[in-house]
Amino acid sequence: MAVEEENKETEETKKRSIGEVVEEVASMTEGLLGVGVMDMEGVPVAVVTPPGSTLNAELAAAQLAVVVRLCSLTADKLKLGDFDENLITTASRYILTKALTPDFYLAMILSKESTTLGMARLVAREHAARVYKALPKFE
Amino acid sequence: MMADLSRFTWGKKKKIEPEEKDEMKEKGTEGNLNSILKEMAEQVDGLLCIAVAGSDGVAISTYVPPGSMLNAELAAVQLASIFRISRTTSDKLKAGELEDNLLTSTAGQILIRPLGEESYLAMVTTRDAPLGIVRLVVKSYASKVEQALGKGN
Repeated sequence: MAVEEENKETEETKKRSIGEVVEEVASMTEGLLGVGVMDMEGVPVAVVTPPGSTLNAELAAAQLAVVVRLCSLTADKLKLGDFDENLITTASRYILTKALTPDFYLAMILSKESTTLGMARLVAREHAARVYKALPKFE
Repeated sequence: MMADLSRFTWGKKKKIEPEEKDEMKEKGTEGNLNSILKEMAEQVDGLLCIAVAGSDGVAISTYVPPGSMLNAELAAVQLASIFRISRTTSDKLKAGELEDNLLTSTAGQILIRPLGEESYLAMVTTRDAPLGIVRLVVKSYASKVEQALGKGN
């Protein structure tokens, strides 16, 4: 069917464009070990890990989806509005998750050696807006 | 809203008079912890709650400033889940030891910092509370709180 084909095509173009945006984000960010857009089920929509990064993207997507869900639930229960972002700081990494829509989130893992907390937050905020624009919108 | 920096006391250690020391001993761990939390609270604008709790979600000591409507017990339980999941996440992603977890929502900020293996220190503030000061206060008081906890064991 022509209509179906057309739908499929637009969907593909949209998907490619979000992939491109994430790719661009990855090339612009210093100290990046992985960046991706995932859905709340932990399934990656677009993921980029720079060459040399040993990050397991599937594992990160699944694990961080649990984090994001729990954070949303917590913000809800404590009546602190809607979940915006969560930042896990460890000895060597910044693990940042940011809600894009109720169904999608942006995740970034950065090396602590080559970036700062302030920069990580700033970069995430900037990129979130770009990625949000490229997200497929379901009517 | 600007924070009143004149109230900062860290770095300059407060001299403890002998009588005061005895009083602290008499008050025991809980009294000591409560006074530390109160001292922390005085330095942060926009505070909603400070909690010290176990990773099982049982609150050890909490402080809710007058005017805050936050349910501290509920916060202790919820934040314990976040504390546990952050640690599992950093373990699974081989990112090294967890240092802290910062959750930002449209109306609030929550900073959670581990105190050893089994407990955590958390501060809940409004969204406009200065993050730098929140981090500084939590970081500089973490060892003090941990010490006060250790005395009770």
